[in-house]
This record gives sequence, C-alpha cells and structure tokens, in this order.
Amino acid sequence: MTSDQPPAIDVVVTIDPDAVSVVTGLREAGMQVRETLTSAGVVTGSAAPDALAALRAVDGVQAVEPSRDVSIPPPEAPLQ
Amino acid sequence: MQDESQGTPRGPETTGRTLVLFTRNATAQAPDMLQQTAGISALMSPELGAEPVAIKDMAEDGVVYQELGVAVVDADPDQVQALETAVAGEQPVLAVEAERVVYAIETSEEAPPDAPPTAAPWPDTEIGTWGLYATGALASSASGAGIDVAILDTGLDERHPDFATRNPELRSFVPGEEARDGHGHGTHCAGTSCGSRMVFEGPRYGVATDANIHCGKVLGDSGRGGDQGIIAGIDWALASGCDVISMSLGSPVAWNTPHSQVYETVARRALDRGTLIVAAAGNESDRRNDRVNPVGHPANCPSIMAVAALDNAEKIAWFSCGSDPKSGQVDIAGPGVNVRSSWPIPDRYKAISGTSMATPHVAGIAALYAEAKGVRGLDLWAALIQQARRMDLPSLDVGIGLVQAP
Repeated sequence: MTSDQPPAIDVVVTIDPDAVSVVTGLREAGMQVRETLTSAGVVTGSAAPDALAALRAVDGVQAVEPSRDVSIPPPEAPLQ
Repeated sequence: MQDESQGTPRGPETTGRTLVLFTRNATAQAPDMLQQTAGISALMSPELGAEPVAIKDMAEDGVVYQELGVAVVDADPDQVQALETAVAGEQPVLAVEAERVVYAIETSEEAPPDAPPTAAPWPDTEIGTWGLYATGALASSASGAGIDVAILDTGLDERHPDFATRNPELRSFVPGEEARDGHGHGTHCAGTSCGSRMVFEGPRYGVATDANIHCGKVLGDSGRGGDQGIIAGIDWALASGCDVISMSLGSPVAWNTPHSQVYETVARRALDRGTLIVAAAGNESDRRNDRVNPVGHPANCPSIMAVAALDNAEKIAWFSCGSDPKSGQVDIAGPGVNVRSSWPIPDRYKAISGTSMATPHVAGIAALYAEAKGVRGLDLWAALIQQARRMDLPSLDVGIGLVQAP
C-alpha cells in the first residue's frame, strides 16, 4: 500500500440474504467488514474508493454505496 | 312595579311603537281603518323612498307594510286601546302588540372552552397540542397498545417524567456515546410519536400513548450521524420486531439525484416483513422566497413514506421539501410547525418546527392503525394513504394530504 493512496471510505452494501459466501467475497475484494446486519441484509465497513467496482462484482452483492453523513441542526435551532 | 330583588323576570323590552296585524285581504284599506278607528295616519310602504326613514321623522304616525299586512305605528295609550277594541269587533284587525326590541345574536369568536376545536387554525389547548386535534389522534380510541415503534434519532432522555412508566428500549449506534439523548431532537420525536396520555405538565402531545418504545441512537449528541449507523439502527428495529420505524433525519439532495438502492432494498425488505419506515421529507425549501428543494435522502426512496410539514392553518410549512417527480416524492403530510413535545430535563418541554416533527405524528398514527385494524407493512401504508384527508394544496407539496388517525 503506497502512502499517496486515498483513504478508505465507509460503505454500505446490500447483499442477497441467501448468498452464503458473500462476506468472504467482500473481504477478498478489499473490504474491511465492520458488521453483517442479517435482518436488513446489509454489510457495513470500509474500502478504498477504487475498490468499489470490485465489491460490486462479488457474487451475491446487490448494491454498494458510500456511507453518507446525515445531520440535524444544533439543539437551540427553532427549525429541526 | 316589579321587584327585581326577587328575580321576577321582566317582560320583553319594547320600543314604544305598536304593531297592528291586518287580515290578508284588508291591507289596502289599512290606512283608512287606522285613521277612522284610532286617528292614526299611516303611509303605505310603497310610498316610502329608497332611503331608510324613522317613523318619528315622518309626518305620518306609521307605515303599513303592504306585503306583510302589518302596520308599525306610534300610538298613545288611548289609541292602542281603540285598536284593541277593534280586534274584538268587526274590523279586519287580527292583533295589536307592542313592538319588541330585538338584537342580533352575538357571535362568539371562540368556541366554549369545553368544546374541542373542529377546524383550522388548530389551537394548542390545555387538553392537547394542535397536531393531535388536526390529525384526530386526540379523539381516536386507539392507543398503539401492543405495537412496537422505533425512533431512530439522538436517543432518549429516559429520566423525563413522562416516560417513567413506559420502559423504553434504548440502544446506541454512535461509537463512544450512551443512548441517553444529549441533544433533544430524539426526546422530542419520541414524545410526539409515543408520548404518554398523562403528562407531568401541560397538554398531551403524544399520539400512540401505549405503544412500546424503542429508541435507537443513530445521531450523536452533536446531531451528526451516517448511513452505517442508521442502517444498523434499522436492522436492530427489524430484529426487535418493530412494526413502525420513525426517522426524523436525512441529508439534502440535488434535483434529479437517484435515490439510494441500499435504503430502497432495506425498506422493501422491511415492508415484506411487516415493518413500515417513515422519514422526514427535509427542511431545505424556503417557500418565503419561492425556493423549493427536493425530498432528501433517504425519504426519497419509494418504499419509505416521506412526510411533509403543515402549519396549524393547514398551509404547507415554508421550509418543507417538495416532490422531485423524477426521483423522490412526498407521500403524506403531518403537523410540523410549533409542535410542543418532550425535551430533556430540566427543560422538559419545547415547541419547535420541522419535517422532523411531522414525521413522528405519522409514525404514531401508523401505530394506531396497526393496533386498530391489524394491518402491517404495505397494508399499513395503504391504510394511512386511504384515510388521509385530501387538501386544497398541490400533491407535490403534501402528497395524498393530512394524515388522519383511525
């Protein structure tokens, strides 16, 4: 790994719940798996931005998206 | 002489003038008859000018209203006596009465205090917040008993007295933070969707007062979070058997931005399992300056019910996001301006605005339908849509209309 490589980004991946080896496949494709959410059918973790295409090609993967930030205003704001 | 101290009712207030009622065929002879019987001079009403005139300002003593067969005359007691004698005799006079003073019935600006409001603008009362009136939640016999509702937000201040008897389930998905709400937003949203019937202070503000509360902290005390934590919260809610998930969160999107495939797939799976996800449309519009922004992420997913905000006059809130016909629609609207609900101690209560406040109204009402009608998932979605009140507002802004409780 070279030092000028862009940092890994957080990703969310929907998987076919019936695919048995999809988490192994995601790891092999370069994903650092954080959690496997079996009710939602989602795997969370991080990967290099240029690895997303490889993640999408893994058997049993349905969609791969960068994890977006979500925020609400500070408590004193009248509009929430 | 009447003794008012004994409370004797007084007769009707009179003007001092006298009404004379003639038989139907005799009106034309009425002036002659009044003159001959009692020495009263009277004009026939067609002889009056277009301008109103008082009898006291006329040369004559009164007027015969031809179409009514009634004369209104100034008569002294002797003349009244003569007319009353005529009633008993052969003259075509049916009745003689003192003219009564009448007043317009006063119209009251406000309904009596014990009558519930029935139309916009909806007030906050001592009984309930305006949103509970506007949605019919206050009048509903359903309470969400036995229904599990997840609020994915900034957590909950479980020390609040209004949640003391509710035993809420709490879980944090924010690294390094406990589930207790250090912001306020989550406690407010949990209060609107599931706040108790009996409250420590002020009006009732909660919709599903007997629902089982699950508060997942997916936004930190700073108000920040991300998709990973939110989806982990959805997974927890699904695994916990929640029937409704309320998400007063999101991020802005540009027009024509495709919705998330990940959230759409998760929401679809949730509906298939019998769990409805409701989310805030977003506050990015400024309709005061004719600027409308599209429904945000993830409410723009077709399988997530997107909620717009109305004010208590049933107008679209100035900040409420609108439908993007290509990528994300508003599905329904709820009360979202000046919404009073619970806030972490020591404040306890606060009124704030946002589609975040409209969303838990819909989530709470979904719990009422789930209890009352036994519906889940897409059937629950259909019940909310079918029963919503249609509005004279664009569907791009309010979707099907204002959510209504069963």
